[in-house]
Amino acid sequence: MIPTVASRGEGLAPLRNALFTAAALPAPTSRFAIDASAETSLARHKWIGEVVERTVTRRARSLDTPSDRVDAIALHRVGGPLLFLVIMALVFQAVFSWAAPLQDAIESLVLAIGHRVGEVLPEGDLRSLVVDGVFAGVGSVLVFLPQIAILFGFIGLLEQSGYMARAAFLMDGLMRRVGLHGKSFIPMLSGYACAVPGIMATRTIEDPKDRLATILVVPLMSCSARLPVYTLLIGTFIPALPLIPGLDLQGATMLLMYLLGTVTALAIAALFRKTLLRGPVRPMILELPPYRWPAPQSLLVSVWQRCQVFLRRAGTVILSLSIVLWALATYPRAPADATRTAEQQQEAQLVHSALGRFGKAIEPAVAPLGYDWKIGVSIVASFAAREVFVSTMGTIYGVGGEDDAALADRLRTETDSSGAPVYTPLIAVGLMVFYVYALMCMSTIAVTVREAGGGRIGWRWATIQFVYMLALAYAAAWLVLVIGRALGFS
Amino acid sequence: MRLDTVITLAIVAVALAAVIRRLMTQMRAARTKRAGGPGCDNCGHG
Repeated sequence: MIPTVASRGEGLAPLRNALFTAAALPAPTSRFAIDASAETSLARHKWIGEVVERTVTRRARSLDTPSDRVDAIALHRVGGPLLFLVIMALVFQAVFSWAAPLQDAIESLVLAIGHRVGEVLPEGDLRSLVVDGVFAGVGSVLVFLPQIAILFGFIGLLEQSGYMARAAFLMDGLMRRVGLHGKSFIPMLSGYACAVPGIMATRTIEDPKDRLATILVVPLMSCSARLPVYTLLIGTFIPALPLIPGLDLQGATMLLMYLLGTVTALAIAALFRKTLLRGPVRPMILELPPYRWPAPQSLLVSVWQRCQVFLRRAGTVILSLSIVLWALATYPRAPADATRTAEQQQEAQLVHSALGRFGKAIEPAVAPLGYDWKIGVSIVASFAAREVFVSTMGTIYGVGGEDDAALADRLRTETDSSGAPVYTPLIAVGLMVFYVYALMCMSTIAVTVREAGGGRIGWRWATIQFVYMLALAYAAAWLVLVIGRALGFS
Repeated sequence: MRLDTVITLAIVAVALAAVIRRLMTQMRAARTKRAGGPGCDNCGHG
């Protein structure tokens, strides 16, 4: 046996030497043929235990190692889940508090560059495309880079320290109670980054019903693409009221959105396991590694990789969609009317455009949720990628507005024809709840089709997933509005 | 037609082609059974 640490490159030289000499070693016996079922694993561990008992002499084992002392709290029946909640609350609070100065700096930089480019280019379509399409659209998403970096920095820290394995252990009991295999934890955890690798990680689950139930609920975990939507709405409409030391209302709202997705995922999984996907629950074996200090280099590499992915998306999917949406919001041109002010003319142009007409056509469908056509269009566009919701808002308000104010300021001051504000804290919360539940991601649908069996069967499960999530999103957003208004919120 | 309008329309056409290409890629990924396929440009997996 050769001990190695892949992230630090330790033990690689002896491993390399061993591989060169491996050809001369005897072939493994059939006793260790791969069979991943839990029962076989248990039998194998029992056999290993017996062999170790007969052959290894140990000093009396102390339960007082540093890891044991930490685990006495981290894995406590009551203290463990509480500690987990406290850690997550601090993470989400840090996402807001620490990112704010960096976000402001990026926002100012994007606005300044957009303003400068606008001065250099002559008045016309090209100038509008660059300023209102590219800078307003892509720029409004780019400002969330610090939040992404901070969130994934913390997730990396928790993973590398060994705490995430404890979180899996804490979740295992809960997941077994709702009928999910313990192995479902890793796909669901991956879902916080992106549902696509989460769904693909379900390949480690042997039982088809366990696997399908996990696939169907993984997209309910709040992925990183939802982060710009939450951050924009919370930062704009939720006040930073201090709740307890170290946590304000903004951080608590963010934590609530993540919890809402997770709790609902477990509830829906239980529902599927009791109806369409009934079957026995299997045990899971989980090894808890000792706690260790994270390696700064590998932590930085993992954060940088997430940032690269985010920047690549901003430069490809979001850029091209911003340009297309700008064109849809700009053409056909509305006839000029000398009696209108510049602002009225821009608003009339937006309503006259292809995007405006489409938005007005779908407005009745989103009106019960308190949304106007601009939110409706942004929701539909975000089917390509959820961050596109933010870039579409940026483009719409870029084309429809005169000054180059930040998107958050535009949303705060937007009013309808009667002069009432379009966005209120209640609408913002409803919209966030909609995004917690709605499957607005075509990549996820494609991977569900493939992983759920492909062909007609794959499409059937993908359709079930899309429809139940959309229905849940619509009903929940509507309930937030109705209950909120009944309680006197605006 | 003004030059800046021509450039603008050309940029829009390229962007539209990119969006359609992405859509086709996703459809192809859905048709590919299990292993393989172009994967996800969100996370780089697959």
